[in-house]
Amino acid sequence: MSGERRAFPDRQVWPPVAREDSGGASTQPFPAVRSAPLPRSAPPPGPLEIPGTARGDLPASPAPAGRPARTALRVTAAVLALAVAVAVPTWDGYMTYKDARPDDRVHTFAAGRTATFQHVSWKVAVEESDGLPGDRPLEPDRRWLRIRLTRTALDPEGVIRRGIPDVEVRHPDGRSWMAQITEDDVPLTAAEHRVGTPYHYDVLSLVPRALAREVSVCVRPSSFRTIENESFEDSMKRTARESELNDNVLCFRR
Amino acid sequence: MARSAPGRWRRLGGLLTGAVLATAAVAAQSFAFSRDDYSGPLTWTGGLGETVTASRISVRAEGVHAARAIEAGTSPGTSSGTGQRATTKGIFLVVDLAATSTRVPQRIAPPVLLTESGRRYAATDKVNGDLTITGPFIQWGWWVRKAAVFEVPPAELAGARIVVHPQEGNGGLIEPSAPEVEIDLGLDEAAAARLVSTAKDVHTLAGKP
Repeated sequence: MSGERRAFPDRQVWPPVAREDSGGASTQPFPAVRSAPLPRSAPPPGPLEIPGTARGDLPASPAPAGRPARTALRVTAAVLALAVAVAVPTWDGYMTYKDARPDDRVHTFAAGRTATFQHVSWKVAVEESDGLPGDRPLEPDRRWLRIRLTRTALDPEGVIRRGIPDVEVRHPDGRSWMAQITEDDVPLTAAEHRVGTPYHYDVLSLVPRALAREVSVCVRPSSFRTIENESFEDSMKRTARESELNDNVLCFRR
Repeated sequence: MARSAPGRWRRLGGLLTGAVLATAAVAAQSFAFSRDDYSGPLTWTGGLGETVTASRISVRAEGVHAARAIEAGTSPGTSSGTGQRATTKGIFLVVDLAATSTRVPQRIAPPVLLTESGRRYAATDKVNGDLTITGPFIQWGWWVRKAAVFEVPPAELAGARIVVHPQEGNGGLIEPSAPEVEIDLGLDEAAAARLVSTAKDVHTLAGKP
């Protein structure tokens, strides 16, 4: 660009030339402190004064109480560390337990009511009985509950959700008894299963006689969806995607 | 010189304290729980005839018998008729159990006989499990009375204890601190010898096959 080369004269850069205005020839960025060194471990002259802290606020004078105060602090820290060391694994274990066994979501209904859940309506009728035909007589402290469970699909999705429900008899205080499905008239295929038509499960349960009036019948609808003419791979993929928990329970009081 | 001597002693004391603490920390590891201890059961103990209530089940051992053979219904694998007889080269120990649940329905896992020598005998599979305590559901409100049957050498009877525990839930996890009931059958040397000498030839398990 420029037509002519400019020539510069030589100039000394190192060691730096002493200049008259500077304090010396040193390249140190900060000047060294030229004074007598402080005594190394001089004992503190007295209690430290923190500016802004009124001394009257402190309950004890810090100098003699310093050692017990620090001991108390250490003991507190040790106790806290122990508490945390116990609490954290316990909490973690409990969370693992709860993840594997989530709490049920219980929906309670009065006797004879119809419960609608996930495209299906459920109804329960309970009959008490002292003996079953063809069985030996029952012990006097027990009673059979013959439960008739009615399910009605409200739409085609309700037909897809036709998995066998779990039935259990529960007392409000948490005790429960087995209930077994003995018979049902629910069609196996979707073609025969009609929307709006009631189908039944006959369920049998043995409970203590004294509690027969207090227990409620709890139905856990299956979240399994049976789609017909679906390939095995598709159903596996769909099941992995849906991952619906079976944690809803419909309880019918007596 | 006069000031450095106490400082040196203090430093030596500090080092010693540190060494002692480190040794104590290493030694304390020998008291640490093993994996088995962590996942092991919680045991409730009792004697013959006592009701032992664990967290999930209550169990009572009501009687102890010995027999040379057990007559029972069909075992699940066989298709022969009723009255099948199980025999042994040792002896059958029959413990009459009564069990109930504390809250929710339970099933009893095959019980274990714990001997004085520390050996564990599982309940025999020569009899139909449905006729023993493992068969029915145990529910709140009434006692289920069924036997547990063990096949053991007669010499192992003295000092034997029975261990009863509920089946694990289907939570998919191995449960730590699961409950179990351990009942001392009260068999000293003399009682064990008497039990063997008075053993019945055939003991019949009650119940529908």
